[in-house]
Amino acid sequence: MSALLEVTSISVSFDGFKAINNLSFEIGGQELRAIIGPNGAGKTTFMDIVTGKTRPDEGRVRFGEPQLDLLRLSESQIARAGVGRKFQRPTVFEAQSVRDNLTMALSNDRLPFAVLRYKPSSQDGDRVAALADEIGLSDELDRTAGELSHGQKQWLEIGMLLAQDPQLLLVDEPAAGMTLGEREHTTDLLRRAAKTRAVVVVEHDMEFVRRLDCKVTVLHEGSVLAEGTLDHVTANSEVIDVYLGR
Amino acid sequence: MLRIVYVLIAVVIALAPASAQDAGLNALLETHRAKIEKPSRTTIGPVLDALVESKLPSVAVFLEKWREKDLWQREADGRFFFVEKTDGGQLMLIDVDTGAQAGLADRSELDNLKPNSGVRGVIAAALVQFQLSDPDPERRLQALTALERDANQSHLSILRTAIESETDPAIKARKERLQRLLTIKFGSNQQARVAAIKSFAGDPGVDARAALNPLLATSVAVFDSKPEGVNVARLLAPGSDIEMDAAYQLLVDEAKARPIVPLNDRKQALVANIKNGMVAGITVAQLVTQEARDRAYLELAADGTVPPLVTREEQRLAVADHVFAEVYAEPDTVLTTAAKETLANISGTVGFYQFVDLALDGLSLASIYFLAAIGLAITFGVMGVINMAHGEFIMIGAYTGYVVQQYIPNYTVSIIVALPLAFAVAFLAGVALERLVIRHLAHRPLETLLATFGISIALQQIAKNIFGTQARPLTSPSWLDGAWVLNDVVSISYIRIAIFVLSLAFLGLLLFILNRTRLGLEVRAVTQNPRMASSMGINPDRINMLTFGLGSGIAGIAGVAIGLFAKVTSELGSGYIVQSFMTVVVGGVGNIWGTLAGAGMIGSLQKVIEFFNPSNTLAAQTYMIIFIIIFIQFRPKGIIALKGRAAGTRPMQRSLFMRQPSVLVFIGLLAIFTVVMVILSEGFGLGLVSTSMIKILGKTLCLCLIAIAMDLVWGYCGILSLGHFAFFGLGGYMIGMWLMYERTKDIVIASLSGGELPATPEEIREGIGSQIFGVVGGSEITVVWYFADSLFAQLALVVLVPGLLALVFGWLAFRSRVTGVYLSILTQAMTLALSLYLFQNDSGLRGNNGLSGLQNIPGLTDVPQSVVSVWFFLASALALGLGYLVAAWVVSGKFGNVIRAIRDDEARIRFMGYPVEAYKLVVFTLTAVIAAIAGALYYPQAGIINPAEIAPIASIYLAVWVAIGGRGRLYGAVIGAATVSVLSSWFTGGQAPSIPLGFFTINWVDWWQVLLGLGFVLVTLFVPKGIGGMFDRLVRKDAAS
Repeated sequence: MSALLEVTSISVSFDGFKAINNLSFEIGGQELRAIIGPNGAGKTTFMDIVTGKTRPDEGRVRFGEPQLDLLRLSESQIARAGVGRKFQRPTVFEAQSVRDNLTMALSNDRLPFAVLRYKPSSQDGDRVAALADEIGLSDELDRTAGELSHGQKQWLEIGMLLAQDPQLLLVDEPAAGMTLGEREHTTDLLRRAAKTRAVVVVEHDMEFVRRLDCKVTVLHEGSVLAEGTLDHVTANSEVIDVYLGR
Repeated sequence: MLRIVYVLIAVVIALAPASAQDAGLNALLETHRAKIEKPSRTTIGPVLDALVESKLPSVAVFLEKWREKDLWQREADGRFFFVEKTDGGQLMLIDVDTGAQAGLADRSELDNLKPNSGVRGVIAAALVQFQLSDPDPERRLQALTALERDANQSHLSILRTAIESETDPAIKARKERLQRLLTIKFGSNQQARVAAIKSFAGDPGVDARAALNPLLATSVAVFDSKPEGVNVARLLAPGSDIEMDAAYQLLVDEAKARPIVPLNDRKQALVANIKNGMVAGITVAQLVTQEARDRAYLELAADGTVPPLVTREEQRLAVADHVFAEVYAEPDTVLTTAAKETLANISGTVGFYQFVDLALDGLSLASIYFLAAIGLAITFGVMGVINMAHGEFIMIGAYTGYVVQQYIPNYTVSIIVALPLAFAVAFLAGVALERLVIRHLAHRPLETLLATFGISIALQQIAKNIFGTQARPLTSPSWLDGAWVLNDVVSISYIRIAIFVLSLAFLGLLLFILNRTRLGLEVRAVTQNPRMASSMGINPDRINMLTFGLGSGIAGIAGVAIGLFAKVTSELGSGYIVQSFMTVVVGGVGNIWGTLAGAGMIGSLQKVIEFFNPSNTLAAQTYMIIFIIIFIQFRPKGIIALKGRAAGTRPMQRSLFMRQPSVLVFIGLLAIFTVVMVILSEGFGLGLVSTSMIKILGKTLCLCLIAIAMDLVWGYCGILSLGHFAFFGLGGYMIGMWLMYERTKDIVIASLSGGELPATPEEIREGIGSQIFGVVGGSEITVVWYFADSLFAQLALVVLVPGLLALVFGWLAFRSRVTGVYLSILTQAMTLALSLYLFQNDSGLRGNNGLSGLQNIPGLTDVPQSVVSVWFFLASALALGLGYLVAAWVVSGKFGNVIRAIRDDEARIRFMGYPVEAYKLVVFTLTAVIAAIAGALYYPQAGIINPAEIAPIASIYLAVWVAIGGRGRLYGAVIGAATVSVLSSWFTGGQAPSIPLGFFTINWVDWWQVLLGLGFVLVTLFVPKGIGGMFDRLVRKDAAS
């Protein structure tokens, strides 16, 4: 089975500093993967490259069935192709309601003239309700997103991500700023999502990663240092040296 | 006894030659006495020749004195003398030949000879040969210069002798050059002339070309067959080298062909032959086309009544039967070939030097732009602040220089004092601006832009109030006058060299400060990462303040430099602000080398374009702006961009809480207002509201409509377009063309209807053409007016032309991800380019005269203005209502959510899969079309449109109305536009009462702009949500929409 996402030997430099150095990465269609590594390892830059925000100096990025060369597409094209990303800081649209945020995220026709003629259908309404339920914001549908708590905003963003119905989810530090209960809820969300699509989670919180119970990739100085189960990886001496500490 | 006789004879013999010579000059003068007494330019020649040929030593002095009107004649015997004044009041006579004293005489006995200037000129020419050999080199040089200006054949031999005896090498070289030049024309044999011609190869001097060009003078001649023995320059092919008509005319002139009958003569012939309302069997009424007229004429010609026509075919055959050629006036082929080759060689050299001259000019311009822009680059780079008042700091510097010169009359000292003083004044002004305004608008670049714009117009008006509208002089010291001249082609004035040196000095100084001082280190740290810098103990506030002051101070110094060669007026700054922005944008923000590169590119580009369009500096600016707009597409971050992740991030926009606009309320209010006004108007009802008031209201409604468009593109979508007024103006021009064309057509038809023959369509077109374009010196209807006779077509163009412009510009801009202040600057550039283009007379739209008489609607000439104005008022209200509905529909649904998402976090919505550029393009184009429609309704009510309307400043005002009214609320935009424009006309129209303050009376006409400018600042600082925001707070409802 060919991988959903195939990243082959990408490298990128910023002003002389090599942020990504000959990195290769693969993930299958229904798989949950965690990426860990120290600050500056290139985790966010890696996501930038996959989503089209940054162009690598070398390497290939292939996605989907039939294979698309992501390096030739713009960010919005990549998103429409089925790659969804949740950013480190929650970036919901604070001026608009939760409902509007979710409705915009729904995987409908994105082109301007179609959107001009858009009429809210009951189907969309159901889907929004289901998503709101899933992320625990059913009571907040008509509130302005700017008024939500930090954790709620994170969930809203995950909800918007799911609304897009992407094949590949890239989630950047979902647990930041959450309480223990919220973290458990988030873990459930991600594990559920991974049943039907590929999910890549970047995290620092080891407990959170342990609960995810999935394959782990360790990045260091722009390339893959180790890969395997969490136990395997945490036992690796190099990983301990650069990241975990003794 | 005999010995005494011998001695006497010897003495007499010894003296005889002297006295014979004595008698010589005087005798000579006696012979020509009549001509000397009453000289004229034509008769004096032989006299002078005789004098010169006599080779008498005293002739030179005589001629000089005569020329200087120092020659006197004794009335008694007609003898000539010079005179000297004596103490007794009498004059001492001096013999013209010996210089000896010859007795006293009274003034009354003498006649002072005063030859006129023509005669004096001839005398001077004769004097030349004496002067050329004069012992004083100054005199020789003077004579040489006079000769260079006007020489003839006789001077050639004179020169030759003069050269031989010349001692000074420089003068000798010049004399030789002159000799060579004269040889070209007057040389005795071909060889000498050819040698002289060829000696000038590679010489860029204008005099060389002036001497060579006449040799190649040609005239067009006609031959029956290929000419032999004639010095032919080239054969002319009829149709390509020479126009058919011109060729045929030549044949006519040589009586080799029949003359054609001009159109007017044919018409007159027809008129002369009108019998009983018919001409040659065709009724006069039918003679309304050229084709019918030709038929009638042919009938007449067949009868022999009128000269026959010459058909095109006939002309062609006649022309083909002959050979046309350009023939040299100079018959000697050797000479012409030599001249041609030498001139070709010279033009190569000249071309090279022109390139050098261009490069020097480009460098000079670049140094000026660099000085003007470097301050802006620093503030923009360090603080991300766009300071629209930067131009005014330049102006402040220039005026400081002027004031200093009022107190210190010595120009050199005053400049030396003015430079640091201008720096100080501008520095303080900059610091004040930063402390009071800019600091409070941190991270809101678009608001900063608007607030500083307010300061800019306030400062301009204050300067105008203090210094008046006339240009004030800023004089450079005399040692800077003049220019460095390499040759006839390359020269550069010393002032420009000085400015170049000054800019280099500043470059060095800034590099030093930024790279070698602690202050510079801190500035660079704050540029790259303010938070990090502050956590290391650097105070970013202090750095910002100092940096802003530094940037402004440099602008002040630039002002002094610029003021030395440009006019110092209150508008000095606005002439440099757009260029400065472009320099910064092109060069790349935040570093000095970038500004240098940008200035270099813009300066040289402008000069190159000017070289190809020498008569048209407006065209140069227009093309340059267009080039820059395109350039930005390929390098949106400029030539030298800041790299790294940090450069890509932008601060998040402050989001606005929007209330759902109550559309029905608005429409209702609008409807009531409209109906009431119509009833009260002169046209339809009670006459309580004057027609001019109706027009003002109608125009205001149109302004409200464009404000809605602006709110849509800016308040809802986040695109601060500072060029939407261009679309407004274009809409006005499109409909204006139809209005003007049709009305002129009616007038022309009416005036031609009295003629003997009915007017043909061509005659009508000619009449229209000269009526419309006469004011710019043309008479042809240009291609832009092709559809002007069709209302439907022009209405379509109202939508199509601005729409297309918006599509193209928007596609280019959005596709290369230009956003924020960069985009605003580009829209300003676009609107500037458009207005400059329209200002040109050959734009086909009457240059700065614009289109006028638009209030007269063709076909409705019987309807009084009071009624027409009401109709337009109704139309404007209708358009406003519809526009509001359309805008409300667009923003209320998902589309509205998406564009607000684009406004608030463009990257985020992009990652959600929305093609952001497509949305921006749709909104940009839609709002451009709405603006165009508003303009098409506005200008017929205004009656006139000209390019000044589309000045960049107009679009900025538009942004200000919307900001004041409240962005992101449609009714806010309407309120803002209505309030500010009504207030504006009230204040500037003189209706607002003046406020006496005891020592000073505030006349609003002079101070309104200051109030307005300060108003923007205050609104931006304290009421960022505008009037609409205040409204919301008063009528606080639940925040949920």
